[in-house]
Amino acid sequence: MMKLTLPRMGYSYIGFRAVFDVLGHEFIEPLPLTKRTLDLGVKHAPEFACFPFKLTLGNLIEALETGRVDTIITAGGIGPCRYGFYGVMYEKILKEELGYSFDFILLDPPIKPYGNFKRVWEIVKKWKSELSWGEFFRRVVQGFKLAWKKLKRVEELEALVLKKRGWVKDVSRIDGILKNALGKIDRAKELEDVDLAFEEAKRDIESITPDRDEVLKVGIVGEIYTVLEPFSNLNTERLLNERGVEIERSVWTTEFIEYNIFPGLPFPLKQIVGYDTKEKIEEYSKPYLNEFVGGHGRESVAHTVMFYKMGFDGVVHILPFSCMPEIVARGILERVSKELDFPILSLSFDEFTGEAGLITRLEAFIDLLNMRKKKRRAVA
Amino acid sequence: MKFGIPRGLYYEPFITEWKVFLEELGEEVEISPSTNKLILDEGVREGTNEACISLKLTIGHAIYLSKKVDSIFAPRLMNVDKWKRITLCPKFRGLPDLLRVSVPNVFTLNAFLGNFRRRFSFYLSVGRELGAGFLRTLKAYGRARSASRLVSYLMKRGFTPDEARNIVLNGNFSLKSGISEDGNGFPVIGVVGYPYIIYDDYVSHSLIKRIKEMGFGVITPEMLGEEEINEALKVLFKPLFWSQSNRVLGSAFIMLRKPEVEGLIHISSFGCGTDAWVSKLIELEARKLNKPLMRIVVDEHTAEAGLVTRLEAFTDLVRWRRGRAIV
Repeated sequence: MMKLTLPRMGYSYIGFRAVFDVLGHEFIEPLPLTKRTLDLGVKHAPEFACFPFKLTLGNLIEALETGRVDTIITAGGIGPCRYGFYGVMYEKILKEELGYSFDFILLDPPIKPYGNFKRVWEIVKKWKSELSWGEFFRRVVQGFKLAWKKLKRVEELEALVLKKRGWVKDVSRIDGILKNALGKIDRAKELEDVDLAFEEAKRDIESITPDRDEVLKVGIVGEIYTVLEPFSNLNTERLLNERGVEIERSVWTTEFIEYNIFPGLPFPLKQIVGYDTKEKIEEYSKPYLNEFVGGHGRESVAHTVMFYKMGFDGVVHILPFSCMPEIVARGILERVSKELDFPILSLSFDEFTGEAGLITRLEAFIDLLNMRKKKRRAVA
Repeated sequence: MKFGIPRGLYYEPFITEWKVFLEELGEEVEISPSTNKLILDEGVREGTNEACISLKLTIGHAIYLSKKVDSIFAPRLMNVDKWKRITLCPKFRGLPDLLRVSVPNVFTLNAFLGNFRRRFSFYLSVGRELGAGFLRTLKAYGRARSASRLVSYLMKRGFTPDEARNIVLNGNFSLKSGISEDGNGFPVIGVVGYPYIIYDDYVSHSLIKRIKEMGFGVITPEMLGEEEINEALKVLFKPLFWSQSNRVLGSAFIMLRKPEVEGLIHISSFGCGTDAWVSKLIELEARKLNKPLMRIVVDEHTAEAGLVTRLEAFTDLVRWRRGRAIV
């Protein structure tokens, strides 16, 4: 049995816990991110490492400090985004520089020259531990089914919350419902319990009467970690919601898994929001960005065009400082904004981003959107 | 048609290779001049903020060229390594699209240049786009490859890319090379960094020349062989995803282990994503091997005086260590 953990990203730990619980390993929930996490990460990470790396490194250091963890698990990758190399850097920094000892599992696809089948095989054997093969496969299927259900229900709920919060004055009530439901989903052992918790929360949220007559519609695009982890974007989505903005998020863990980890699955997994196919991405980004640039660079451009076509008021582009794919997207979004006459706010986050400056920029953006809306109505 | 090849992120031997190829097909080609203040200012104004200086420079070079040529020749560099999955920094992949933001006419095709098959199919499609027949393309390809091999060879012998290109294209043969490894018994300092930074005298403030003037020999990644570098990289769990970074990291590993190299300077640009990993890996290795290492970060605001002071301090340290070693 392994006592394992992984870096925190939004609510993705709920899915991972489901898998490892079913497999019979002890999953230690990643600690919530705090100022201390960030300070630790900034201290030990390279200066120009992306902001998510600094946060996750700090998160892992804090997990190792508790002494309860003996295995760390992270996904690998084959680039060109830096994310695929996080694992190697964690291991180098945590082991060579900080002297922690632990078992490290890096999930690399068996694609040469980055990984091979031998490594995959070793990981499978570690996960199996003492189980028999039949039992192991049964549990893997069961675990992944449960995890997938949980992740999807959580994200569907989040999508609902992001929309509804814009309509009400008191957002804390919806936050309470979400928190309650997340706890229930996390604890659920059966697929039905997950659905039940979801339905209940959905009913609760829908029964709240809106306080506003109309809201702005803003799409969120950008780098997945910074979008999903509220600590890293200083709760930008909530800040927008509080100011009367309905939000549609375009990046989700489940979609990321679907399109990047299992792109060639014979049976298509059901999507949450349902607009995100490979062909669509290519079609929307066509005149502006014609090649995959790693990470969510191309998706950022495509989703922005999509939000424009869906009649949104504007788009907020969230990226961590020095993120390579998103900088490319950012340069191209300038052109998109100019050609389509569509307001786009690019916000880059790092350890020096202050909340006051962020709020000022968001408020200015909202004022701009309101003004445009009024003007359009006057013309019409 | 008149094509312009911007410098900046594009580097040797590809610039020469493309120039020779296009000229053989009967097109006119102009390579942008060495970086100057005007080009840099233009690039900084037009380029995205947070981008590295080299990306901004490419845009500056392209804008400069766009006034003089019909089209900017900007292939999308996708792969220059024998492994197809080893690619280049995302900025290279997005470069043609980023150039289109500021420049009207950009000629681009996806360039996989890792081995003969991929490279040849790239040149064939360029030839097809320009309306050249197969035989003509084949001939141009042969010329272009031999020119680029010669450039690589000269760079390996210690000529700077500009000198090498000058020799190959204009036949201005000079035996004196700009950098040479052999410092006549002087201590050697290794300079690692991306070719578009260390050889751009405006961006790096002539770092290599300055080190030479201080009485040191210099060795750069271009002077090391491909196999050697790939061998050195085997200590990593997996290679980096970017060819240039692998080259820099591998050569840093080699240089740190060479007894004649007394110190290592890693020069990178501000906000360079790939260098975040490279610099940390070099740092850990240098600490293990106990070799002096200096990391210089350049951007459009880097002042010459500060850089010179740091360089002097570093060379003093190297000299001092050397003196102690003899005693």
